[in-house]
Amino acid sequence: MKRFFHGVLGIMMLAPISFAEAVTPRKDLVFADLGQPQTNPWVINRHRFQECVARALNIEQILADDENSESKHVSQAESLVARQPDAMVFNPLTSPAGAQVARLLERNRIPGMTAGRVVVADYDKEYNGQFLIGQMGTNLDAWGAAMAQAAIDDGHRKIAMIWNPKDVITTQYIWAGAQRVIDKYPDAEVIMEGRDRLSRETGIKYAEQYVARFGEGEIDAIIVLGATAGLGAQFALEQAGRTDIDVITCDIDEQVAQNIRDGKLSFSIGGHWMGGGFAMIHLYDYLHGFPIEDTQPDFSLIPVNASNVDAYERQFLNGCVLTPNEIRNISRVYNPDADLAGFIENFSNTWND
Amino acid sequence: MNSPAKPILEVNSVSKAFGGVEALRDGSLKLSPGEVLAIVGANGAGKSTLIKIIAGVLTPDRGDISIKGKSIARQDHTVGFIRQMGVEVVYQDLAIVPNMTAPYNLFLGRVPRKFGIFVDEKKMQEKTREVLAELKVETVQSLKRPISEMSGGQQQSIAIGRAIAWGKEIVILDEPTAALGPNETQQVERVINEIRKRNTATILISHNLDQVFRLADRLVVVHQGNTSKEFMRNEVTIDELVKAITTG
Amino acid sequence: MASDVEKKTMLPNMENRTLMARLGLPNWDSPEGRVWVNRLRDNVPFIAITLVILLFWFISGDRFMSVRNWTFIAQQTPVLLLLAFAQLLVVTTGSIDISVGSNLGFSAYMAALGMLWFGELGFIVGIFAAMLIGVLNGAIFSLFKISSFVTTLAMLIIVRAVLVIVSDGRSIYVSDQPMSNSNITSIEAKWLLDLGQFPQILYFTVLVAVLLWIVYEKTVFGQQLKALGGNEKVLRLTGISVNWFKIQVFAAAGFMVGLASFINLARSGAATVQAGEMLELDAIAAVALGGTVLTGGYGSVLKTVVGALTLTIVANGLTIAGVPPSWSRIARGLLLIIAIAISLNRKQIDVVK
Ligand SMILES: Nc1ncnc2c1ncn2[C@@H]1O[C@H](COP(=O)(O)OP(=O)(O)OP(=O)(O)O)[C@@H](O)[C@H]1O
Ligand SMILES: [Mg+2]
Repeated sequence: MKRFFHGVLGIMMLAPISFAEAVTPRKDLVFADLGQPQTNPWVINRHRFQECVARALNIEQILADDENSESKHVSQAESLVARQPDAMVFNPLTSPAGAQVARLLERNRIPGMTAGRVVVADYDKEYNGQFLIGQMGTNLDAWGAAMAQAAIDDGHRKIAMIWNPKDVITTQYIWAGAQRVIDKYPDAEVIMEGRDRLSRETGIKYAEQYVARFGEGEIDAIIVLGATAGLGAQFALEQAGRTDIDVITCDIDEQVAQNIRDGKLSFSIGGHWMGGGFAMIHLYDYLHGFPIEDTQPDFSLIPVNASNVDAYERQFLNGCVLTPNEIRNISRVYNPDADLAGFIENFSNTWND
Repeated sequence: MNSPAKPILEVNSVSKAFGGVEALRDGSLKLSPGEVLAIVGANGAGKSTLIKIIAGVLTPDRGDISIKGKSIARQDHTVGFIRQMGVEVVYQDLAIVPNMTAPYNLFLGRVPRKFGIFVDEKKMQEKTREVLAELKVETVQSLKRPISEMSGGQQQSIAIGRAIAWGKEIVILDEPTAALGPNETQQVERVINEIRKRNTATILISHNLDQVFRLADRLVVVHQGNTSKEFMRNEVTIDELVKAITTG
Repeated sequence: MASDVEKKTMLPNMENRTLMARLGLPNWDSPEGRVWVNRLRDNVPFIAITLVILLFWFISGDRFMSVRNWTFIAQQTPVLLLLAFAQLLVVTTGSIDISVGSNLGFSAYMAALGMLWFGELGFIVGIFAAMLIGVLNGAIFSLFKISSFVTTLAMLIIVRAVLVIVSDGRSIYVSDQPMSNSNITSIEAKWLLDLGQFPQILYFTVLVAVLLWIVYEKTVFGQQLKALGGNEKVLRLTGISVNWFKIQVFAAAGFMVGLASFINLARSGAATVQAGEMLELDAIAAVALGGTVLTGGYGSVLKTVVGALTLTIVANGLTIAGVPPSWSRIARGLLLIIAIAISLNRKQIDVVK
């Protein structure tokens, strides 16, 4: 119902600005989207925001997922290309898989952009093709750093973590950011690392083992990657009566928001799923003849604590984060003065103003 | 030529093909109560196919069988139904479940129950001891151990014991001594002779012609899927029989 | 030089027998030796668990051997154990069910949905859902004569996908108080959360284990399981309707998965999309650690309990001992191979596939 309402609102607001258009917006565009399966809240959020962008810009989307397998990532990309979309947004499962998809796009002359993970570390220096027009990244280092900083700022020094196994490269970059911050404080240390496939159940299991291993005063906080496992860990601590241990996590859904409000969780960080929608706007502009300005924009995540959780929930968890009008306003097709790169860079600071 | 008594089993021109292979063509035979009938024939002649049809494992493409004068309708031609009529088979190579106990193998498919779902272990053990004693088979092994720990002859005796215990009308033995040594063979032959005493009809398939002459009253030769010849034991020599088996 | 030669000539005299004799043990190839070896083999699961406990006690002391930690172990074992029970039923017949993990996730979600729709007793929906998956497994496997591995592999994939569709990636939470936030899907059931905690979770599991032991050892159904694993052809020839029985076996396994999912829901306090992922492998490992041969015909409920417990204790102990995650996995893999290598009677096995 809400979505429908937003849609109606969007159509009504379209009228006054339409005379200001620089070019005639195309209404026949089909975008392919390749990502990971919807077993993670953030994948669902990514699709939700992309759907908002698609409606605002009259884009039809074809969605596919790679079932978390490199080879399926590539074969699904091939199937999508066979449908001859106008553009493709993809979140490379790994860099090698992403590189193969990029080659596929070059061969078939379909413009594409990554959202989330990247194909090459530095697009301008390392990428020679022309159809992968850019990489909409997430500032992974800053992400991890923010999580660790939140722990440090709360006075935690003895920190344990629950993370993905080391072969999940991107999450290694996130951890590197966290480690960097912890290393800055001589009295802070990582007292235990737990690495596993992340689910609510593994979050519970590791939290229980840490509780068994460390008595009161021996552990201050657990940094957990992802809200699903994070909520599991927090649930286990609550059940075990260990309110002395704090959980710091990332991703925010309704349950995380509620727990932050209730003071059960002190901090989470989220919003990285918006990258997919921004990649679509980049490609949309590109297809209308506007060259890309920043080939590797980095989206900074949005830290959430008790002070801004209500605002975050209002704005991010219900319907679209941006109204159709706001979305069109950051596209140069509708707004010749649009500054997409600047918008992305500053969004984490300005969203709550 | 047949025994005067009313036949307990009649097989009327049954045929069975597997794909292109006609394993059995117009096979026919009659069996009287208390009689031991031997079926002989070369490898692949169709002997096992014939008895699988009698047992209800296979349905014939043409022809039918009747037991106790009652023709078996096509929809009744199942193992369960034919077993209920008192026909039991000891199959070549497929007589026992090796990891299960002797009592279980004796009661295969008919395990006695307590309260509807529980196994009546005591009853099974008692009955097994009874059957083993009746067949004069001596075992040292515990009846709680897998039957595979018994000797081949003992295993086969249990399988035959099962056939005797429930095959009130007909007991069919498909090469019961093929895998056994001389002593064990003797043990099994003694068991077969016990069956005769109970007026139960027996069909014996065997490649061992000496054994056939020792045990059977009558012989049917199967040649290339056909029940080609039939002899009373005392009306045929071993040479004539060999000729019938090889040339039909 | 001379002493070297001497040593070599001495070696042949030091036969196995004398070594065994010196240790006060009978020669392993003599009759009493064989009885001794068999007894050892039968007791490998019990010896293994004792050694594992002693080892971790030695390494981690009271941190491992504390009431607190054993409470956690008692909470961590049941879900795995109930899944291993499901696996035991199937493995005894010589088949395998690798869909148990997906089925667990699916039926836990259905139980949660059932409670949303019909109130507290609605969890029954989950048990029925799990049994339905079992019946489908059994029917496809026996009627179409597709191997159980392939059938349940297909089901592993399909059921997880159905879960993603049904849930749309959203979790359902169990809470002990009314939820104020209407955006969070949750059911209020304090009794369920209590069931997920020590000691209730232990009572429940022990009860199930005892009942299963009776079914497995004392009933016609249990006996037929082993017979089917021993020689299916013989059963067919005796007119037992093997296809129907196989469907019953998979339905019974489904029922066990249903119980496991119920306990998982209670313990983790939420039904999520990832619940049970990869748990099928742990369930198989637990059965194998319990000395049950995967080729069918034999099995033991008690030893499966010991197998599941060992697996849990090893994971728990290694974490508490601070062994790095990857090394901990290697240790678990090695334990599996060693335990099974010792407990197998290779003379009974003709072919290994
Ligand atoms: N299930 C089957 N599928 C295909 N062909 C079969 C099948 N069963 C038997 N046959 C074929 O039918 C023919 C008769 O087989 P059958 O087993 O009845 O022979 P037999 O007389 O019992 O031989 P043996 O003395 O070797 O046991 C053979 O050619 C055999 O290959
Ligand atoms: Mg044969």
